[in-house]
Amino acid sequence: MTELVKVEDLSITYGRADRPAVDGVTFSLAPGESLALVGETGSGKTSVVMALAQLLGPGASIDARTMSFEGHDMLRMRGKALRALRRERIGMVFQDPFGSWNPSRKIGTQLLEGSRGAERQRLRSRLVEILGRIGISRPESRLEDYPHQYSGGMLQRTLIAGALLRGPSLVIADEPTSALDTTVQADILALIAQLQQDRELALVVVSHDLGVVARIAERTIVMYHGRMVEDAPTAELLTSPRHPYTINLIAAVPLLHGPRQRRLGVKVAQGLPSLAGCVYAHRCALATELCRTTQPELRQVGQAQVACHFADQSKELLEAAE
Amino acid sequence: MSALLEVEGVSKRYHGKRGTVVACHDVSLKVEAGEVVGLVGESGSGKSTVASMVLGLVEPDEGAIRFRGRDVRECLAKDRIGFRAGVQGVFQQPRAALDSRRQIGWSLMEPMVVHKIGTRASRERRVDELLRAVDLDPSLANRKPHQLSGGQLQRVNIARALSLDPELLICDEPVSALDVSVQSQVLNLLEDIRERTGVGMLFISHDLGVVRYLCDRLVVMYAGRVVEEGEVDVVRDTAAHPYTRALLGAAMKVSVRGAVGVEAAEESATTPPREDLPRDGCMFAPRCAMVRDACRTGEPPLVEIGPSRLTACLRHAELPPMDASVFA
Repeated sequence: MTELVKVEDLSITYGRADRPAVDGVTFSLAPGESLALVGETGSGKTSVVMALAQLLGPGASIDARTMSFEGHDMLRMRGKALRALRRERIGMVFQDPFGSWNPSRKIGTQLLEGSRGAERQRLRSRLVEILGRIGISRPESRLEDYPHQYSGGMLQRTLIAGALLRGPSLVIADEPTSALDTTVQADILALIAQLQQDRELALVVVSHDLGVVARIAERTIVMYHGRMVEDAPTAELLTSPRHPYTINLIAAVPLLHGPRQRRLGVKVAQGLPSLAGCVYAHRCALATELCRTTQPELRQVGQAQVACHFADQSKELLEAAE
Repeated sequence: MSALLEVEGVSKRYHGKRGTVVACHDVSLKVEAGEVVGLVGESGSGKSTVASMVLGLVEPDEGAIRFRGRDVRECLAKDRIGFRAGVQGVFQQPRAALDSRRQIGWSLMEPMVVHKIGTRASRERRVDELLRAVDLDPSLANRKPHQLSGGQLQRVNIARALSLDPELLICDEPVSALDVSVQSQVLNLLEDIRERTGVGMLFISHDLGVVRYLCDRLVVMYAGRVVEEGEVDVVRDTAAHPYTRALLGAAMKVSVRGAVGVEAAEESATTPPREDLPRDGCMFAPRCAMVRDACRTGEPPLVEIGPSRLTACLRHAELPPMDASVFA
């Protein structure tokens, strides 16, 4: 089985920054697979997907051994061919349902932009069909509306419809529900999960919210300061996280059930990580001299790939350290 | 002894080109001294309108809001300064709440200048103290907002709200714009402050996990009405309004635990109101699976069903028991 997406050793540096924003990211994605990139602001998760779609401007220098999508070398794709590939094969959904639309043009006009004649008619009827399926009532007439006449949840649904319109093989969703209410969020996530299964779409979702990830991704990569710290099946990651950062991240989520939490997460250190050792060493309760000087590589522990010198015993060690 | 904050039968309507919007209708709630009350509901449920009215930023059309037994309108007219010192707000957008051209230290000092507290030197010491109290380096006083992260800025906002030792904090979605890890630090900080100072809080959020971490009691709003009230864990386990149950169901679907433990429970009525709200009867009726004719005429009253436990559902006694195995 060939991979739909293959990224090897991706690093991204912005401008003349002394450290890369993304460093050594490696993953592949099979057709129909769903993957989440999780991490806090500045962890590089958005940069990774933007680089994959070649959407980063000239200020970013991208370096990778491989970065391919459907067999195309994305590092060398430019101009018309790149635009056609993005238009036809990659659907994108972004965080801000209001910012994703031009407020002065009709919804339908924006979604069908760039298509003419018979193709436009075909896409239009397809759009109406998709909109109807994802719960927009009277889709035909709603295409004549402007964005301000839609609610946030509807705009986000419509954006998803637009992303699916041309039958892509990959959908990239960057914080697709972060700007929405809990109830709407649940709806949108259910919709994405269902569409992904029905259409055998590959999905890369970027989020800082583990709840979102738990809902729609089979596999999750946790990023910290531009590096992958853990890569595991989502259920495995959430139930038995191995990297101290992942453990901390999960402990930071306030839970509605279970025993009352006295503290959330673990105390956080200030400052930037060292360039030499583990990126998490300056915040980690387990850090030793080894961690500060030698960067841990990703290695297999159980079902997970973990970049921690103490991955086999991190949980016990952290409990002992408390 | 009157409660720290009493909101009694408050209504607010906004009149626009396309008709009148009832932002909130006959809302009553109480915050006792040192108590943290969570106010939850989806966007448009009127949570923030309540916050604005308590802060005296918006005047209610009907009803009364009392702070320490005195009407807020009266407080504002006679002792605006004193009222402002007693009730402070923390808002959702940390960056928008600070003057972008002023140093952090200036923003922290401003309330003391306005309230004529201390000398220049003592104010500077106080700024130092405040920054330390919210786990920030005192040297940040010389920075401007654009040099700080969102989490740091929200700490500054909290420090500023605390600078006059208020008795009541109104927190309107203070952590919604923050990352999970930053959010957890700000929540830990608020919990510390509450333990240390005994400040009362009205804490608005749409995240039930957050509310549970911080709050003693929970008030649920829907379409401008209070539909349920009670202790957080009690409401969670025995929710007595179908809307609260929908909210809990949605929260569970996007919770870490929910997805790992059990596959999403039954599809609940979580689709937000697309159609216009009903003119009469229960506002939730069009979305409610338990609806019957009686629900469509007359406003369902908020009835007491236990100690400090209220619901506005006519059929609360007939709601099926919540499936503990699904929610455990």
